[in-house]
Amino acid sequence: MKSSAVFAITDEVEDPADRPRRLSWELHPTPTLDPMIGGLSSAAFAQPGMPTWLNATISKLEELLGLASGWDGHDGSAANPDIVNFTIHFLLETLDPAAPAPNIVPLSSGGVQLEWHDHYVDLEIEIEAPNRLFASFENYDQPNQSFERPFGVDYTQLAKAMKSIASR
Amino acid sequence: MVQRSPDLPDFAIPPVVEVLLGVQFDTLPGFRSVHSGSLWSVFRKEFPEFQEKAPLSPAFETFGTKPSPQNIHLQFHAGAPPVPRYWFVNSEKTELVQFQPDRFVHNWRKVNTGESYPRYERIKLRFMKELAQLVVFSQDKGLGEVRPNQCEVTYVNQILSIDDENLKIRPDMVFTFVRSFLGTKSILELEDVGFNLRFVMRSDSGEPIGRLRVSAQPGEHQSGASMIILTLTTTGAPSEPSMVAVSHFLDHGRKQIVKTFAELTTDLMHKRWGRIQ
Repeated sequence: MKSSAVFAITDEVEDPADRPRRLSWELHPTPTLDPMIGGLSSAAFAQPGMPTWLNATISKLEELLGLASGWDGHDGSAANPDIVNFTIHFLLETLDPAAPAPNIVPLSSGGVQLEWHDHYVDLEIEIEAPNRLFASFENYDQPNQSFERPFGVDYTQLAKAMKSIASR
Repeated sequence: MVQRSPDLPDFAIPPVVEVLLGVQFDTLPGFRSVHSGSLWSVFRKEFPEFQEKAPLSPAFETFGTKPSPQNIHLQFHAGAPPVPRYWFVNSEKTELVQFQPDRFVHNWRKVNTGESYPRYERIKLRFMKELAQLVVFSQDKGLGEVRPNQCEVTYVNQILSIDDENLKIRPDMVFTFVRSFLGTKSILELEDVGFNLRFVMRSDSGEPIGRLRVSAQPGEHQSGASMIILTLTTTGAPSEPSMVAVSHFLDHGRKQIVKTFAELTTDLMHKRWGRIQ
């Protein structure tokens, strides 16, 4: 979709300056309680830690946003900014802060694929658009938990699979 | 003329002061600030005033997830500077169209106390007509396809105290699920009331499709009367990225809002608002 519609205004000539090359993330540690009482600053309260996977994930997504058209030798597009935004928020809402960072590979459509592999589980999540995912999960310890299916807005089963990654 | 559904509660003088119908869609990647003038010209006859606002971040209703960590705010900046959110406002300042490259919204708001609520059916007709105009504009300018991914319906109500009453400390007069704290000696004097409720909207097959959020906050009307500001919002994904699906979600979301509003509020209030059915 992106490759056909995105740069229609500039016709076939894609201006490299238009391509999102940089991804700036602003991390604002904010208080868990508003410091309304003098002397009780946010530092007085325990903060949940920054996810260990966040920096590596951001760096990789930045790289995918800067991919040149045709990066795959065909019509591959750079990662779609909407999908990148969705991906990072999806991970923040489902992945344990202590979980390993996913391997992230680009999809030619502008989507991204997240992967975790170890001796016990294989999890691959294709994000084709915000709220349009396809996931395959193999749990070699507990095969009855394995699945392969699309996901729309209900990520209950997927979040459970992602939790099992963090517990390894 | 579009008829109101007969199974919905109806009020002659509802306390609604603002209604918002909106849609979020995949970003129109070709849209640049330079297009704002052309877009305004599409709506300018009815919305002659123009304002710029900070853009809203994309938001998606998801289920089975946990809320994003409160201490991490991520803001994505692509190569080009972000395009603002544009407001096109009518001369009476009662209605506005909001646009940014991934959102389109129509607001009606009560400005003078004398005007009456124009009703959902009329507001929705206008919104759908304007959305169709945006689709044509986007096609004509080669900006990309408008592919809806989320919808929103919001009603803001001002529930005013009358005479000597103070509804901020008498939530039992307004809400069916709150009991009176008057004369309760075991707790302190109630100063005001506020709350948030979240409900899951499900499809006929039981799948979650969206949420209804209800929030109540204490406030003071410009007349000096104390009041409770009651906001009801439904958000969720349309069943498919089409205008028909957007229309269905808006109707369904509005229906849930009206029914929930009637369920949560008391007969005393319904009498004041002239409940018809």
